[in-house]
Amino acid sequence: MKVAVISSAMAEGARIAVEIEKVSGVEAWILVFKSRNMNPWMRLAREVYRFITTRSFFSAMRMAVRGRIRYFVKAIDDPASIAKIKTFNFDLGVHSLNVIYRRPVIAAFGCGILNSHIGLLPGYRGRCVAEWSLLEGNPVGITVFFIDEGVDTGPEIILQEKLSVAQFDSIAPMKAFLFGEDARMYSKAIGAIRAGHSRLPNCLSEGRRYYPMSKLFLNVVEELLQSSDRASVRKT
Amino acid sequence: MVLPEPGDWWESTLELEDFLLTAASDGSFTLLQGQPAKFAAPTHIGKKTAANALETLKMRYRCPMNIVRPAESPIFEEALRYLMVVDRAERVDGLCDQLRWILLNLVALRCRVAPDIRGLDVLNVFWERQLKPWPQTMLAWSLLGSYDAALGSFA
Repeated sequence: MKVAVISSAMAEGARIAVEIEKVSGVEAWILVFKSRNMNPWMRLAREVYRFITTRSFFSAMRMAVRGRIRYFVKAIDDPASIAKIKTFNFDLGVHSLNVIYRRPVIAAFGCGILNSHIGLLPGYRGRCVAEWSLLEGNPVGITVFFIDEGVDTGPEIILQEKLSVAQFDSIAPMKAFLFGEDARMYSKAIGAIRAGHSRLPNCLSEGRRYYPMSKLFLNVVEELLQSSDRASVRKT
Repeated sequence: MVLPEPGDWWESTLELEDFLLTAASDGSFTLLQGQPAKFAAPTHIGKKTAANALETLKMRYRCPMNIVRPAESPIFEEALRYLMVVDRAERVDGLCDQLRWILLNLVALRCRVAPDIRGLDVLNVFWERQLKPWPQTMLAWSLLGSYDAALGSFA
């Protein structure tokens, strides 16, 4: 199975690619796109910073030596980029780029594109869903699903996991932990796809779309994480 | 606040802005049973369709209490999306300013009757961003009253 990690930075892509290559029969590639207008020096500086923080320099070099990294000058939804992606005949894409994908891009990957969402679908779609889950006293977790053009509305859920965040006393490290779980979750999801496990429907009527939280509510979530009585957090 | 049966479409003798101000101040308004709105709710509000959406909303919600009807959920969801995605991301002009205030007032009214924590948080966000440095318009003042009432509904 030929899987492409779609990323805006080589270091990020390498971190995920290394993990998903642990699934037998998977050949991982990294496709690097520019996600927004950033000058080349800033981009280089960001790559160096990511290499240091993700410790993925040698993984990326290994991928580069094997010729499995491709840089794209144009945005992912540019027709030239889509045409080039199609030439590789990828079976699957793995999302690590900060964009909403259009239909032609999704169609360029045989089975589609996977997303690791830091909320439990179908209940929590959109932004700040870990914070909203805590505020509403519900479990926090991660869902891997096939994306469509909407915001977390893709119809098929591959797998999901509830995760304990009781060890965190602040939002920032909690989210860093949840976002950092993406490689492991992608790896498990690809294993499940290869094993032919059944999928869950993402019933939109059973959930709601959430938006970035106000400072007021963020403070409430911070206090909830710091409080000694963290029943709702421990519930996970 | 006494409301007619949920299946009814309501009318009021007040115009939209007067109704909002009255609802925000003491809540002593009269709702009459009326005919269903002739104007469909906008299904997608974008920057380019803001003018149309504003006119349609003004006509459909001449009596803005109709926003609390369960069947109006889609426009409530669209109001949240517009306010938190489109309006937050783009520079707004005078027209969008008015659209924003009407949508915020509709969200606040609905939250008073059908509490929705997302709706309340949209009001929180706009309180933090815009209302705090003193509102200028009558719609903003009415929003302040409805925001207070919506907060009360969560207490």
